[in-house]
Amino acid sequence: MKKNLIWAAVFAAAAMICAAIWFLLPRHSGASVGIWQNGELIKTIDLSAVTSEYELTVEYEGRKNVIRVGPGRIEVLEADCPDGTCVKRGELSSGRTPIVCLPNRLVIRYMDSPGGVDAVAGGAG
Amino acid sequence: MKIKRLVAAALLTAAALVVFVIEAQVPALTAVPGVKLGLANSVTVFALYALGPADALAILVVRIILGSVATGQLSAALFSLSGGLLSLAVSMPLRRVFPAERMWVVSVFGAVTHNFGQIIAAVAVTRTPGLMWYMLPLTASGILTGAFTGLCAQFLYSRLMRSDSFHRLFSMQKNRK
Repeated sequence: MKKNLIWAAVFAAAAMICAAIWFLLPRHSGASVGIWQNGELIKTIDLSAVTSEYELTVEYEGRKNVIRVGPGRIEVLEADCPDGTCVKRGELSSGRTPIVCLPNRLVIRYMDSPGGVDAVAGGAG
Repeated sequence: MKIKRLVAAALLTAAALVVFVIEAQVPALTAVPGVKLGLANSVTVFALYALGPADALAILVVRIILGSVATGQLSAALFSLSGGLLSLAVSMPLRRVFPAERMWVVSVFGAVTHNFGQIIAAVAVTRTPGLMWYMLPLTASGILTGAFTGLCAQFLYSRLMRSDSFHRLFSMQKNRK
């Protein structure tokens, strides 16, 4: 019984530390969004410079994602993957969580978000 | 004896598959992809204790293949497999360390490593190392969901261990112990 309590305390502490670090990660400050496909940056969009709404189609191996770009926002409108996780997710709102479409190898995130490649490669900076 | 074992494994596979398919229909709980209860994990942990590592592995692999066919998400099978296999690889030695009364601890380690395996696959597929940051919320959620599914398996195990017919079904394991 005592061992159970010790493990519960250890796990609770670990969960809280992870959640705390996650919520303390800085949010994005810029409005520049990048679209990656298969690890390659294929497009960058400055959302603050967008004046009217438009749609953008990205293809990967015959499958496509329709991305809607508007003033200050971006979201995946349609995806012909079976799960549709990226569509259900809605708008890219915070810098912490990118929009990811795994079947189509697509990642959409703020250029200066902490989840960036630079932040990982360059350590905490 | 062999047939009994096969029946037990098939029964658990069917249970895992049903739970897996039902859970796939439930909308995601949070904006972070990958956060889910992982109820099928409780069957894997249960099988690990009730039947042993080999059967748990067989149940896991069959469930993932049939589950991805049933839910129509074949591409998801890769992520389920990388998560599931890593999780089981870590849980197998832990089973020797933790008695059945602490099955939930093994389940927590299994859930966290399951998420880790999935993130690794996602990083490899998208070639975006930044996705590793997802391990923070996924570790926190894995601890919670792993404890829950582990307790489910543990309570079921301790109750079933009192039943005679259950002992007969899983008798191989009982004798070996």
